[in-house]
Amino acid sequence: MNKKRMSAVVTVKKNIAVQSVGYKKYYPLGSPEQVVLNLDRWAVDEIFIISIDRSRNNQGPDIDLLKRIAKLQISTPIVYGGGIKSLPDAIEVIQSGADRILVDCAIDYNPTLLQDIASVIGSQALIGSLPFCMENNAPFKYDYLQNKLVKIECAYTQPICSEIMFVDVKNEGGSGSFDLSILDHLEKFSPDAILFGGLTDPRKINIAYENNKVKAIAIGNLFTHTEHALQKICSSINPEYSRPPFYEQR
Amino acid sequence: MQISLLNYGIGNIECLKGCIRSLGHKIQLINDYDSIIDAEILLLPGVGSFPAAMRYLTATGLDFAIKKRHDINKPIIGICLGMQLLAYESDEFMMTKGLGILDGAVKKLPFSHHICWNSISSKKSKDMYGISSSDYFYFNHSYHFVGNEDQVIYDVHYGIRFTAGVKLGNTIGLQFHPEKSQASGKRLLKNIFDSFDNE
Repeated sequence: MNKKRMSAVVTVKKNIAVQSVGYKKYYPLGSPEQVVLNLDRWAVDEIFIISIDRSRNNQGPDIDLLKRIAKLQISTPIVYGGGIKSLPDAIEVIQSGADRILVDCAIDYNPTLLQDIASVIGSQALIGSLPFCMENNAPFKYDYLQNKLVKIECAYTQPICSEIMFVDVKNEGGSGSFDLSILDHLEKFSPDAILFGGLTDPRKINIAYENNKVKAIAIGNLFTHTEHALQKICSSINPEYSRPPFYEQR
Repeated sequence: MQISLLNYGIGNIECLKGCIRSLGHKIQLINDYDSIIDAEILLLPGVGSFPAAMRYLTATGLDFAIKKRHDINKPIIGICLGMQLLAYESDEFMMTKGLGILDGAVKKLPFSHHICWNSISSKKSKDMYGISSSDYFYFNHSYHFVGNEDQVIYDVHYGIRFTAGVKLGNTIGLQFHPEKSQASGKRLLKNIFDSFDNE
């Protein structure tokens, strides 16, 4: 029986895992490797590692971080995002230990990049990141490099990426505050959806999972800060949607 | 055992290396004809597009090595894309010839992608590798193998039923990623390696 995915997001800034609130405030957690190890032990469905300062600092992807994580022998799918600007970047990220990649800024500055990457690594390995905002009843992307709202590139709506991660910018870092009205916009996008940003309320998670376009939800601060939060959430949502919670035997 | 992982330029080799080491086996990366033939067990890894992978294999002549290895019945395990390469052809992006080891072709799934944790069904009443319906495996693909049912050992359901695993002689193909499927995946890989070790 197939299941929707419950993913974890590890935000990394200056080589430290951090809690992130609204793209503005960051609170240190510690070693990204230790956070990833914990999530793997708790059997999360997928781990997003997002290095949020690579593009801002004009750096490429954090290959050193990926190689350190690859040495940990974890057995959970890894998605990496941060600083991917070219096809060689994407290939190097996959070869260094990521199973899929997440691309954000580069889509706006190089709209043909997604197709180039998909043709080599496969569209199933490609996720577009879309920090999503509604303004005057119209949908926009939040460009965090320029701190402004921009038009959503058509590359997002076309069937190039396998999935789009919709980030509820206004509620990112919050608890239970995810804006479910985002679900009303998903049909405009060809790829399936991963939802992220304050989506920790089991009632809202069940509603999100009921939507056919939603294949995964992602949780950041709660999973990286509180032990067994993943298992507690899995126990609280409709068992039709998620794998049973896993507790490590010692 | 020494497991040899074919590096064809775009696979997720780091993940597989870690998994195999965690099972207590040695791993080496190879990409030449003789190493493919001589390997104790050959692993074909799993991320990338079919045309890109076959371009590399045909340009380097390594396609002949893999086919010869199958013909002399030495163990091969293909994972995800690695399994699909064993087919006659694929229509991913363009029609591309595969290794032609399995009797079948790779076709687009009738939906965009199969990216989820899913359970698999064994075609035999008692699975030879100890898998049950409570085991979940990580799938991430948009194409699937369609071919001779006699070669199919596992199938999976996602709206429709399609092939999740194949076996022909000592060549095994798995559509899912056991190295990314936590405890269930490790147990399956361990049992497959042990089955080759016992021969």
